[in-house]
Amino acid sequence: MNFVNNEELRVQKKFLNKGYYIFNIKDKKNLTRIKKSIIKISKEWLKKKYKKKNQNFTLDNTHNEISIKDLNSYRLYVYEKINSYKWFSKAYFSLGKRYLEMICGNELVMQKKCNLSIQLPNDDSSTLPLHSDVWVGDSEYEIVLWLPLVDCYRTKSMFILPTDKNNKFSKKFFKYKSTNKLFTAVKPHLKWLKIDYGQGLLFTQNIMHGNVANSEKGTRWSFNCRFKAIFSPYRDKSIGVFFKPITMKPVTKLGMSYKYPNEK
Amino acid sequence: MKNSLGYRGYITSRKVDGSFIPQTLQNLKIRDYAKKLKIEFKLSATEYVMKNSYHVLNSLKSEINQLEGIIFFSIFSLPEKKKNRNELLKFFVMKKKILYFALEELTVKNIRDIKEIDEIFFIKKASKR
Repeated sequence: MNFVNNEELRVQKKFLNKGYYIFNIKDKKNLTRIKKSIIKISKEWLKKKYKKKNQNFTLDNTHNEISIKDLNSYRLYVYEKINSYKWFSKAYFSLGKRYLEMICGNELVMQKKCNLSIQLPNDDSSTLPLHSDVWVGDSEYEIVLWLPLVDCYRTKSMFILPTDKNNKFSKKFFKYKSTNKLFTAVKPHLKWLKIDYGQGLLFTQNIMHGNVANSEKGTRWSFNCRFKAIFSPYRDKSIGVFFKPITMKPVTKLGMSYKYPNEK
Repeated sequence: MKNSLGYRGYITSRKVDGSFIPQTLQNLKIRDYAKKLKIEFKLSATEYVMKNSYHVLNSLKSEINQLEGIIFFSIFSLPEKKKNRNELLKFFVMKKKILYFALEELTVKNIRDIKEIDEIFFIKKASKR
């Protein structure tokens, strides 16, 4: 039995088939607010650290302003600051809400802080080798909302191993003794996702994915944040520590506070 | 900082000596230990949750020339099987790398140190009988 409408069915089928779904973001207001805030925070940092006032700073050109040596402290500054804004989580969720509800559920928990990746061209210090988050303690019931702040393509983007190949190579996992060897085996089958600024990506972290050093001209900027249904298994990433409830419905609230007549 | 190449952290998604320790806490301990030793800590690699998989640790073998060594959270994130454990430890020792174990505050630099690790594993196993 499946009581979903045609649009939901189309999105769900595509997601299940490929392991990901790319969509156009309708909430331009919140998307612009996030990008503008990142630029503002970056300018603040540049002024503090390098005593520079750069009015023409763009995210794509970050590599012209920041050295690799300072990249992590810069990234952490932007990450902490943007995540400290009360409006940020809600704005981020709003960008993918429609599709998150179709694919994951309408009673959700959200990762408490959205991760931020900045990859300067030819910098191999910020790469994330082939992995599946489920292998390192995440729940297999999670979904990732990945948001690019610049146009991402080829090595400036991320790769995924399509579902069918993922299932094939997962079965052979122990045949390969290291992640490097596994990566070599799956490399010809990887799909590099092309996602422009203004689009969002929802993908299951049950499939293998990762990135390599960005060998394109511009700097990559992207956020990633995990969501899952409130009552699905959590594994090592627990509620309160890693996740926060964001869309608890009245019936759940009633259930939570219900007391049988013989309870005090 | 004593070295410029730095030390890669190594944490695990599995239980450590029977207890589940959140990755954030494992990293905190490694960071603290690196600070105490005044050595440069590089972002940790996280071993997979699947039993008997050492894919991430094995991948560190090919990265080791770019590192001074590895800071493990605990000796109990090493393979339990003596043969497999010693093969790994010897590989790093032969490359003249230093292995630190943050929780136990132990260091492996040579074959003698590996024997000390063996003894701890043996006592741990024997005392559970």
